[in-house]
Order: sequence, then C-alpha cells, then structure tokens
Amino acid sequence: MENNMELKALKNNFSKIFNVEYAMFNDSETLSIKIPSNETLNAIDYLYNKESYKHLSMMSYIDKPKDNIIELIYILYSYTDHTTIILIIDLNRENPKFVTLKNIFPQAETFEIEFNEMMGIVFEGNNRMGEEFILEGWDGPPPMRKDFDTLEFVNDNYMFRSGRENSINVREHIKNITGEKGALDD
Amino acid sequence: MINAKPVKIFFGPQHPGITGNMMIELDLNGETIVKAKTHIGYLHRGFEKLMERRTYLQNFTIVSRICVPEPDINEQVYAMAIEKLAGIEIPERAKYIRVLVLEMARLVSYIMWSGGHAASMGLYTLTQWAFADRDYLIDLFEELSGARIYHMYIWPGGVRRDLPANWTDKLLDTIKYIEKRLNDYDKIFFENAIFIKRAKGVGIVNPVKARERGIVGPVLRGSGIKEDVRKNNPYEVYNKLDINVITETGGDVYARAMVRRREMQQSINIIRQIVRDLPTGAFYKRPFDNPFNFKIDKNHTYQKIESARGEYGYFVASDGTDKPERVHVRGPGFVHAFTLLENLLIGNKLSDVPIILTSLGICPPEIER
Repeated sequence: MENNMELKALKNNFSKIFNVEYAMFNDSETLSIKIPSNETLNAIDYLYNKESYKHLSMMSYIDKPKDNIIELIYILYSYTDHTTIILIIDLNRENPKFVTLKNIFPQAETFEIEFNEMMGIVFEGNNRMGEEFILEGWDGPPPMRKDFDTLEFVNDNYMFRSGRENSINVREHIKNITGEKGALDD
Repeated sequence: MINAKPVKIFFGPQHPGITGNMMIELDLNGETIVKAKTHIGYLHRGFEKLMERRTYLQNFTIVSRICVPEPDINEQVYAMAIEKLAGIEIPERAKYIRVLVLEMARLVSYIMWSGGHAASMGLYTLTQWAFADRDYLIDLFEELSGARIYHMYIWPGGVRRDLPANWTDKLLDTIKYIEKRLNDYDKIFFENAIFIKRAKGVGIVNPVKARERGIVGPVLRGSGIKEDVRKNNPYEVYNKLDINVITETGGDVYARAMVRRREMQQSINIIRQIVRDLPTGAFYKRPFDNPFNFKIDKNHTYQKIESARGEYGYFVASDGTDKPERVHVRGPGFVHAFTLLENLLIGNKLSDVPIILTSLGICPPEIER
C-alpha cells in the first residue's frame, strides 16, 4: 500500500527541523522516528501543536543491556490524519532519566509510575516517582530489566509442592502432606 | 453538604460493585466523593516478562488470558503484530473468519457487560438473562475452537481450523435469537425508568477532556467523538463491510450504555454480512517452515484493533530470535481506571460509583499484565 501522503510530508519536514537518527515507515500509516533525548520535548511539542498528534496511545520501553541503553517509546496518534508516530529515544541504562509529559498528556503520569517501578526510569517533574503501583513491599531490582531472571527468583523464593502419581486416594495423599485428619476421615 | 473530616472508604477489591481485581480509595464528605485513587496489584501475573522467555507461539496461551471477558482480541492483535513483523499475508477467507470471531467476541462481551451494568443498579433480571444468552454464543465458540473462553483460534497465517459444517447456520439462528432478546433487554433495562433516571447526567465525560486524556472506545463515542479503529484504521476486511461509527452526545453513563446497545445490533449486522460474503478458499497459509517455532528479524511494530472497550494495542519488538524482545499491551483500562476514573468520580455520590465504573469498560487484568 502507498505510504500516507501527510506522513511522507511530515517525515521530510521533521528531518529538516530535528536531528533524526532514523525515520522509517512500519506500514503505510505508521512512522518510526528515533531522535536524541535532548530534542524530544521540542519534537513532541511540534507533533502535538504543529501537527495533529494529540492522542498518546501508549508509552513503552525496551531494555537493551548489550548496548547499555533503555529505549523509551512514545506512540502518538492523529485523530485527523489517522496516522501513528512511534517516537524512540535512548536513555542511559545506568541512570535512566527523562522529564514527565503529564502536563501535555495527563495519562502519561500512570505510564511513568509503572515504568519507574518496573524499569527504574525516573521521570523528573512527576512527584509520584517511587510510589508502589503493581508491586507491594518490593525492594529488588526493577523486575522488567532483562538481567532480572524470574525463573531464578522463583526457584530461590518459592517451594514447589510435590505432585501425585495418579488421582486415586486423594484424601490419603492430602493427609500424607499435611499430617492432619480430614473432616470426612474416621 | 456536611462539613466534616472526610470519611475514607475502600471500594473493593472484594465488592460486588467493582469490575474485577482493583480497589478505589474514596474520600467522602457525606455521600459525596471528594477524592478518589485507584489501586491495583491484586492480579499481577508478570505476563509481559514471561512472554520474553517463551517462543512467539507459546505466548498465545498467555495473551488470551490478559483480559478474561475479551480473550479473542488479544489473539488477534498479537497475531497481527507477528504477521506485520515477519511480513506475512493471510488468505482472504481467514480474514473474514477472524472478523466473524471478533464480532462474536464483541457481542459476547457487550452481552456480559449489559448484565454487569444492570447488576450495578440492582436490576438483576437482565443479569440472569444476559449470562444465559451469552452461553449460546460460547457454545458456538466451543464447537469452533474446542474451548469456551480461551479459544487460541487465531494464529499467524490465519485461523487454526475451518468453520465446522453447518456452523454458520447455527450462528445465524443464534444471532436471530439474540436480536429478538435485545428487544426484551430494551424493555427490562435500556428503556427502564430506573436505569434512565440513574444513568442520565451521571459521570459526564467532556469530549475535549476525553481526547486530551487518551479515552477510547464507547466512552469516547458516548461523548460524541467519531473514533473507531475499525473505520479509521481498518484491519482484516473491515474496509469491505458496512459499518457506522455509532455516537451519542450526552457523555454520561446513559450515552455510553446506548452506544454499546446500538453496537450490539451493529455486530449482529456485521456477522450477517460476513456469512453472506464469506469467500471459499484456504483458512490458513503456512507462514514459516516450522510454524511452531520460528525466528523474526529485528524490528518493532504497534498494532491495534477496536475492542468492545476501545483501542487495544500491542507494541511488539523482535530481535532476530525465536522469542519476542518485548511485548507491551495497551488496554483501554490502563487509561480509564486512573486519569479518567479518579477525576470522574469527584463530586459524584457513593451510590453511583458502581454504575460509573461499569460504564467505563475497565478490565483490571489488562492493567497489570
């Protein structure tokens, strides 16, 4: 399918204004753009005010330990052109920081709280950083980091219950595990 | 209005008026809500993390469990993401069958919602009817896929098996019955004076704020905004079907309910169109040498569809291996449960919390993933 004309024009204009690392079409209606983090606020302001990308569909991230970066991703949608921009920036993995976008997109606040908890990204200006969101009493590393091994964590922290060979004598089996007399036992 | 220290009420996680595993911390001045804060964390299963250590195909058993009332949309959008990343084109018949499944799933979801919404007002007759009627469609899903709720029917390359013999005849009979029952639903609920009185003017979502806050689906359309992924970014064969973007202008609980009510009828119409136009041919095209284990080159994509609750998106990144580098699920509940709900409840009465909540289409499992 032919790429969307408005999106083609945007790609050209955007490349003239910002220091674009790459801009590629994912499909005819979706454009991925990677830019330096120090140009991101201006880029989002441009997309929001000069173009029509007023809907933040979602934010996301990809942990890339080999490159020592975390890719922070903003997915923006235009209600008028019905096109999508995937804006990607690199953050230093050792100290991932960016500024909050909650003043432009109120729903960004919730994504930022989750990303802080799950990936350790700090969003300056969001005063709910460090707040418990999904996890409770968690003091380990951000669990969505690639180097956090969930299987190892489970093996270290949980005990597996032994299974049964068959489904015969269920009550007997439970009694053997608990050592307690069941309500229906004599 | 009583001027006293606010009373704190914890609404959920175990409460008949809550829509799943979440809790709302309410500060009340008398009966009036002055502050609301949503809490989650009761159902975190680490699905997104788990998907990074399982193969693309193994993940289908996970994605369908991300939102229990709407499993099929997850299969669809995850399959779309894999197909986009790997450059796979599926047969025309498979596209039609997928849309048929998606519209059946929408109907099932809306029927279930109508029962839950009626229950939130104490009108339990519709609740009993809706859950019984929903089962007729679930029977058809069982015959189609072998499973009642988690179908795992849609997969890369098309669908798992073709439609069983005479199945479309049963489907047409069932939706004819459902269509007749919708008239009964109107009499018992949608035209019921109690419902109208309780729903009109309550929980009003301003259309400008709805767009600013990322609101989607029937909530957005209930505020008069014509936004529907099926129409504006059509996928599969939605561009070949006769679809209207249904809107209401009230922006309140009533308007959102009426959008869903009218969309139930639209889903029935779409199912009839598909059965009429269903092409012959293959229902599946083998996309990889080994369709059970394959690698995808480095790439990323954002795919979205219109669920019964609005835009449902997956951001998926591949890194050349047989497992995804990242899968991130965007459900409507993630936005609706926080920035929208927390603001919308302020100034409303405690007794209206369940009806506002059920009107927003929040599915807590998709928030925690």
